[in-house]
This record gives sequence, structure tokens and C-alpha cells, in this order.
Amino acid sequence: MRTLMTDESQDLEVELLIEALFQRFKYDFRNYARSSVARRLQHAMTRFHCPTISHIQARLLHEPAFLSELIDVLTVPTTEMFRDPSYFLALRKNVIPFLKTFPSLKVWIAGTSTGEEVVSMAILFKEEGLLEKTTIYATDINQRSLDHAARGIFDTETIQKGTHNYREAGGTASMTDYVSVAYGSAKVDPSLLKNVVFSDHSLATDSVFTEAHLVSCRNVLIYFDRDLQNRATTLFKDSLIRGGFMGLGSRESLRFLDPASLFKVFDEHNRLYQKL
Amino acid sequence: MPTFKALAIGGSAGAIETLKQILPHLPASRDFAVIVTLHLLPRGQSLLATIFRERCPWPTKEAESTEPILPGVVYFAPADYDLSVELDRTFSLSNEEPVMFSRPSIDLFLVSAASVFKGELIALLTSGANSDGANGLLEVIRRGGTAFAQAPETAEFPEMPKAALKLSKDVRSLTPKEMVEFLNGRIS
Repeated sequence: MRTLMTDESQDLEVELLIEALFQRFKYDFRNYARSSVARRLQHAMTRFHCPTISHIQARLLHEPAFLSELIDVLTVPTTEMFRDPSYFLALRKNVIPFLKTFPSLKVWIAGTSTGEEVVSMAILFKEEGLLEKTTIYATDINQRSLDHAARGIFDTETIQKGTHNYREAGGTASMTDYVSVAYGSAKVDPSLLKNVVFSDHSLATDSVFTEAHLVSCRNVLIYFDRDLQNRATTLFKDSLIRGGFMGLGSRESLRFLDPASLFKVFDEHNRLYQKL
Repeated sequence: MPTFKALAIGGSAGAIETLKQILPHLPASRDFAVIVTLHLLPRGQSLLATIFRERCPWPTKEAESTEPILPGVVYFAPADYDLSVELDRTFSLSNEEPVMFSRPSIDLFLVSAASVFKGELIALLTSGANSDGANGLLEVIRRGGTAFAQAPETAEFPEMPKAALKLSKDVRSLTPKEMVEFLNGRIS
């Protein structure tokens, strides 16, 4: 009986912490899939040596520096260079030709995380001769991730793993051409990030901020409940120009969401949609 | 008649052979959902739903984000994602640090399924060459569910069910044939 009470108390603590994050800091996790948030908070208990989630809440409300540390644990930084190479190959073969018809381009990468998606996209655009006329808006709710992404420094293992993906994604040079290695770290060619605007933006609370030709948001929607998936994809729809493209993660689909009828399924396997 | 609402099956190497002995014999009553979490190669195509479509009397499909869990359907966890159950009995997917180098993690799935289905969950751990899932079975028991491990002598790779049986005497050992009998209400 005691263990069941503990379970119930912990569920309540998760609710209260989510509410505190929203009311006090306007970080809105209320429509995130609860199981994942609860697991992240379990990690947070270990990482911050807190015996209960209520202890995490006390630190959150009383230590100004703690907020960014907690957000860092709550957001899931699973990413890699050219993740799902066939997605980038499909962009290169079938979307880039459309993008080439515009004099200037805007790309929105929502859920930038630590920057691997941004670097991958920038390399693709550079190789296709589009990078100079493109502005990439890279957004995330995790400021630490954004800072990491903007520095453009990765561990060499990330680059090595990316090399294989890069080739499968139709890369025409070598991944190592885009980085300089020193002291076990790899810094990406600064020209790749020159036209990237990194900014704090929440798909749960913020609105559209630019018109875009391409929106890429991969493995972000899976952490949301259906209401928030609807909100996010509606933002993408409102942001895109007519005929613009939206790319989602390999297990994300527009099928059951509100804006589905306003898009054409362009490439089912690679989760590419075109706004009608 | 079974009073459970979901059967969770976990496995790794050799588990497909076990599934071939169970899934073709699911009962006609279709009053529970089957949710299968297997370790697959990260880049492996998720062909399981297709492989079992012909062999299984129930519809089979890959579990999708926000999808309601319905009785009479066999769901498979997608490769390279973790599968969870939400309180409203829908699926969610995530990418988390691999547990024991495996995604999907069987432990992670069982913990989440147990927290929602509680006493209405039956879990079966099948063939595999590591111990993922054993702790998850403990959580199933703690939440009032029923935990089975495949009888090790019938598993191609017995390490996984052995780990679970070693961990708790409340985990019951069943052969695939006995599991079929159980699901069809012929043994309790």
C-alpha cells in the first residue's frame, strides 16, 4: 500500500513541477507526453542529488541559476549529423530543385537541440549552392543547447559517426572538409553558420515569426500530446509559403492532425509534406 | 476468461521464433491488446508488423505517437524509438539514452505500461541474450500485474528469461505452448 501511495505522490509532484515551470517561468510542458517528462525528472533527481521531485521544485523556485540546468535535463538531446540519411537525400534530390527557383530562402529548423541538424542542413545547402542566399532560423527552448549549437564545436566521435550518414545522404565531398580538429574537438567551418539565426522559441507558447520555404522539425512532435502537435504543425503551416515544404521525424506523421488537409504528402517514407 | 487489458511481450535475439509460436494462436475473443517490444538493429526496417500480418489472426501494426491502444490489435514498437503508454492509454514515442545499449528498452516500456495498466497487464519476457526487461517485470508485479518469463529451455537465447526468473520468484515460467493455452483461457 505504501508503494502505491508513493506512486500517487510522485504523479502529483510531476504535475506540480510542470505547473511551477509554467506559472513562474512560462516554460510550458503541460501538453508534453507525461511519461517522458516523468522519466526526465527521474534523471534530474539523480543528476541533482534530489531525493524527491519536490526537492527539485524547491531548487527551481529558490535558486535562479537552476532553471537552465533543469530545462537542459527536461529536453532530450538525442541527435546526430545527417540523422536518417534518406531524409537529407530526399531533400537534396526532390526539394532542393524547387528551392533553387527562389532568389532568397528562409529555412526554419524547430527543435535545433545541440545543432547537428543545423550543420547537416547548412552542408547540404552549401553543396547545392544555396547557402549564400539562405537564412536559417534555428530555434529551441533550451538556451544551453542553442549556445552549444552556435559555437559549432562537436566531439570528434559525432563527426566520425556523421561521416557514414553524410555519404548515405548523398554528400559530394567529405564530412571532414567542413571541420577543423584540435584537442579532441571538431569545430565546423564558421561560414556554415554565418547565416544562421539561433533563437529561443517555444512551439507551445510562441507564434509564427517568419515566412519560410522549408520547415524541418524532426523528433520534436513525438514528445507532445495531440493538442500540442496540432498547435506546432499549425504554426508550421502558417509560416510556410504556398508550395513550401515541411519535414518531420521518421515516426511522425501529419495524418491525424488538424492541418493534414492543407498539405500534400510529398514523400511518405521520408515524412515530407508540401503546403497546398 | 482473462480480465487483463494488455499483454506486453519483450524479447531480443531469438524472440521472433517465440512470437511465431504464440501470435498465430491469439484467441478469437480479441478482448486485449498485444504490445511487442523487441530489440532490433537501429537502422533495421520495422518489418515485424508485415512479417506477422499473414501469420496472425489479429491485425498487426507499428505503434504510432498518440495512437489509442485498442483491444484485438498487435502493436510493435518501432526500431530506434522508445515506446511508452500514456495515462489516457495512448502510445508515445521518445528517443532517450539507450538503456543497456538498446532502443527500444524493454524495461522502459514495461515500467510505463505497468504504471497505466496496473493489474490489467500481463507481461511476458521471451528469448534474448541480455537482461533487459527483468527489472520491468518486477515493476509489473509491484503494480499488481502478472509477469511471465519464457521457460528458458524453450528459448533460443535463455539469458533474458533466466535473468527475470532469478530476480523474483513471482515471475512464472511458461513455455510458448502454455502461454497460448493461458491466453485462450484453458489454463489459469
